[in-house]
Amino acid sequence: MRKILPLIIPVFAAVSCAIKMEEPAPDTAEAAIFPDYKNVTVPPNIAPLNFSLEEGTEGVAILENSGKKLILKTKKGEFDIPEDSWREFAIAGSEITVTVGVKEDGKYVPRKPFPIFVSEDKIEPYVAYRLIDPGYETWNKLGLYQRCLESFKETPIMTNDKTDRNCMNCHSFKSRDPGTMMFHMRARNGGTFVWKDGSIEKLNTKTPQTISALVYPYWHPSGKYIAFSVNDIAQFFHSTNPNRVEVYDYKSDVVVYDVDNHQVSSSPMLMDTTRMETFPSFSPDGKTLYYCSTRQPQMPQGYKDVRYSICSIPFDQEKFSFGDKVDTVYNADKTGLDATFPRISPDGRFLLFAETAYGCFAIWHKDSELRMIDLKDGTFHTLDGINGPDADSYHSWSGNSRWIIWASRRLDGLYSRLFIAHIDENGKTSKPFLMPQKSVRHDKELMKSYNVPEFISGPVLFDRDEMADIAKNDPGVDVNFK
Amino acid sequence: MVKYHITILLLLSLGLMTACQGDPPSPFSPEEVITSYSDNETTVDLMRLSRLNLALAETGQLADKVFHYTQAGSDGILVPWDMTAEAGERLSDAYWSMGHVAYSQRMAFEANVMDERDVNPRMVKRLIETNLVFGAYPVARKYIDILGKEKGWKKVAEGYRRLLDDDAAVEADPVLGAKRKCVPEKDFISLVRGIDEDLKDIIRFNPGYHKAIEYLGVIYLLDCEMDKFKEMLDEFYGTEALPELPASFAEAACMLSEIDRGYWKRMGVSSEMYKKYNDFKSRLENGLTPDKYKDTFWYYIMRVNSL
Repeated sequence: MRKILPLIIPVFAAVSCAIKMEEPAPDTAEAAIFPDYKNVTVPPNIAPLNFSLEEGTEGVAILENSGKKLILKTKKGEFDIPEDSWREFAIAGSEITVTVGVKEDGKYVPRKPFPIFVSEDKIEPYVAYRLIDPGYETWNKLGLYQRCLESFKETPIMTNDKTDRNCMNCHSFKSRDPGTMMFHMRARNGGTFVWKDGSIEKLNTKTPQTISALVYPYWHPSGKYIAFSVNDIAQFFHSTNPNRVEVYDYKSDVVVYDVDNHQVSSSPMLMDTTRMETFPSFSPDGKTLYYCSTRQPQMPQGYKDVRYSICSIPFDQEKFSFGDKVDTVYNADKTGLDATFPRISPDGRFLLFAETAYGCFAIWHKDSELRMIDLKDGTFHTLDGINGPDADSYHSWSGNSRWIIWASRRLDGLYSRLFIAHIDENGKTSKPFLMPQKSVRHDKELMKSYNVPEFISGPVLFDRDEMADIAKNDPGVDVNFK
Repeated sequence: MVKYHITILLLLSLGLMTACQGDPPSPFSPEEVITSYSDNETTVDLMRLSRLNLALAETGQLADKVFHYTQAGSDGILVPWDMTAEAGERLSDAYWSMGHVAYSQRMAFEANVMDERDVNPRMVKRLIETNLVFGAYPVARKYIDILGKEKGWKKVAEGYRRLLDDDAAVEADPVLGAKRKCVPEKDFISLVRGIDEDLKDIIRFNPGYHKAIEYLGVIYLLDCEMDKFKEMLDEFYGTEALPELPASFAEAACMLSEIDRGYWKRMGVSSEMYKKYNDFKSRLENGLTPDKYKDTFWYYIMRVNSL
């Protein structure tokens, strides 16, 4: 601290000689900036919140906190906050005040100052995601990546340039552990790949008793099991509907995979032929399996009649068995709406999910919003403060249950970007913020979507060449149905 | 001195390479495509053929002149989707031309994804156009920014910027306004029922967009779907969508008179055309070559039947 502070003051002195800015008047307009970082709450270990000026061509930004001041000038319209200086301002439990000045007639005209609230709650240092064209059918270059949230460093976990440009998806981690994960490769070199205890295993997961190979995953907290859906998936394209694409299932069930014994098992209640079950997830204590369930309409004509409820069933990890009673946590028949992707906060308190009018794949539904149920008292939280005007979906929790990250199409209606929000112990949310980038142009120009963000406690370290070699040359282990 | 020459050569080749990056806007006009295509071409290259048919459609000649050229079924209109950038481009162009904006957008997206370049400027332009038609302005803006960075495309991109957030300006644009009128009010699932049913919905919604019915009829004829073609005529002939029959439709109406006496008359086909049809038939019956009718639907269906 003492070492860095003197570095900040000279910067201020050097720049302040060159700028003249009056105190902002009480009725001063707000600054037009991108991303909108006004009044957001951020973790103390987040990377600098670089932003651009969306008005005028030149400007200054003054950051103030606890008597320290940092003055930045725009470079090509952007404020690039030095990482070491940012650390001095992002003090846990404090408030950074930002005053932006826009150059007009040779003077910097101040805009209304805004605060950035720095929470005391830290966030995982990494997030994993897939970067993919938000497209219809084809893919070309895609991969799974990890981004250090404390800096801007992004590194590949696995990319398809090593595996004949195949598709890879559904990465999932055991309780945010980068050393215990899995993902699928599809088409060429297909299989499910489990990275655990320092080794990689390839699985062939289609069994005669299941509809398909294993699809949407969720790790049991013990690391001994992974819940999956098995799905007969299809999609079609709208002619007029702004949702563009409809992804739906003809059939689906939920199964649980025993990692050590290469077996899947299920319950008649998870394989009901009159219903479709999908999107499983375990409670943090591993005793309950949550999943989504809907009656099975005639597809695709009945696609608008698909409404998933969220259900739960007891799971016994010692016996690898299921209870015989299903609870309905969210009843689509009562709400008339549709709930998918249940995710329980690690402290077991909140159930976070995506709610939309109908259907299976919320990210393609512009009305999709995040909702939350307090499992302690059943309180329903609409989370209005964090939902945007476009699709909000695919969400995950930080280990301390205080942060969520999700994919939102709110910026341009198509390319999903990652947003992060703080949720306090009572379920109260703070204004979300766009995951910061070194240059804000990144989010505007990137023609890929961020997909399936998952917090992780560190980087995934398997060898990509070894993974590619296994994908191409290992016949894989056949999974059996118990 | 040698070094100097090498540097010049390098600079020149770099310049050439840069100039080649990204197709220049509108490399060929439809008229040029038609002129460059010989009507004696007997070997069918579906990609070239689809360009020709597109050019015929864009110049309002598809249903009149489609059989002036060797055809290969509706694959010459809608090339098989083999998940390549080239097929995606051809399909996006064809759907755009027929007024199926959603599917044109889909194929433009696929073509851009499959292109080995990071950006396929022509398909990004199509993404701008289709998103402007749908009023999806934020993502149209993104594509305008991206296209504007491509060499040779800045002016094109900026031309679209003025249409952002302005429905009236989009509707007044001769191309985009016409396409917007083709977007049916009631959503349907694209292509699940077949392209013909989608086209019928577009025609019913915007009967003034004649390209759609030209495509519909020509697709039926190229695939020798005479029952469906007749249903189409029965529904649309005499309406705003099809006030009179273009040449290939009239030729097909003559043939339909074999099973529905006097059909050609009810469809407004000229006596001269019907005479020609009878001449074609009698030549066939008498073992004479009907080559003088090579540019007709009759000749096409005879050739298809003989295969």
